[in-house]
Amino acid sequence: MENSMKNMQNLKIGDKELKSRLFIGSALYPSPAIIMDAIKASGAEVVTVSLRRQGVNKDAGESFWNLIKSLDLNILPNTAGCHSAKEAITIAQMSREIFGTNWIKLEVIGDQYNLQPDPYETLEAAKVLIKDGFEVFPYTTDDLVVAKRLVDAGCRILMPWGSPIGSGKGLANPDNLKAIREAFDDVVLVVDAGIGKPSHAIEAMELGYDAVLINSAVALSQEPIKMAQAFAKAIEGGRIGYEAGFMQQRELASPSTPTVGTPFWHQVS
Amino acid sequence: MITITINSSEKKIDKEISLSDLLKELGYDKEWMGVAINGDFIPKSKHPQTIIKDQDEIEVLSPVSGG
Repeated sequence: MENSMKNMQNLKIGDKELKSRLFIGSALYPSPAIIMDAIKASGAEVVTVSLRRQGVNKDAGESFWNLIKSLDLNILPNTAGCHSAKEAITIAQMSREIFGTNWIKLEVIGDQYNLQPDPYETLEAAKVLIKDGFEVFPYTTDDLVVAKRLVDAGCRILMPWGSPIGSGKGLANPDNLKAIREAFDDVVLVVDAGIGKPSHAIEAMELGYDAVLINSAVALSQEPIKMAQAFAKAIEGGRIGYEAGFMQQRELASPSTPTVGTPFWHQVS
Repeated sequence: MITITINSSEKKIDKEISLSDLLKELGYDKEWMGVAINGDFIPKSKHPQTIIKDQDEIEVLSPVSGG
């Protein structure tokens, strides 16, 4: 019998075609071995990394980088910790040299309490980086107008937050995320930040988002490898469901079992 | 004598040297490290002709995990 299982559509980013719609972070895992096993278990083809000051241990950066390189995935460096466009631009340029990619997850924080992105600095940095040949993945809020400005600046990808970084609260404003999806058919949309459990990722995929970036939810779970698998399945399920098209909601109940031939039926008087 | 900072640590050097020589001396001349001076990225191709000046603030970064 022919296998009729349907795969989800591939995700295209520039000239790359990805089978997985899960982008995974490399931070906060209990050990390097678990980073590797969890990333492999997730099936992710995009992994995020960062840059920090070289410490006393000169080999730490090299061993981490060799570990990540051995996964042979697409590297998405971030500008985490930057508070101005200038800082983010410098980190992006440095990342391109070190990691050998023009992809950059542009993250410019405007508020230290909830790590909310600064739309003004993010937009300014995005303009400069796009002109300089970068594929910018801007971390942004779920604000539609900010999203519009970023797209006008040339961003082909947007990464709105679900809720604040590391909060695990899921999608705080699904209606706002939906408005962004409806506004931009051809922009790759990735929910970044706030995803805490697989159902949150399913919700994002069911809204028509193209991918989800997850880190804390996997790394801080009791069993990161198992959780990575759970997210892989959730994201695939949510996406295939979205592609299949949902039924229309109805106000009233409607029986699914045929009513013709109902046993013990009597005319209700 | 000039005074510079490297990742916020002060360092005194007795003569003008190139960024390449400074990084070599510190063991920071590695392919996985990136350098900025006074907030501006300095690509590796420009390290030999970049001369360290008094009060320069140098940042040397390397890969870490990230989300």
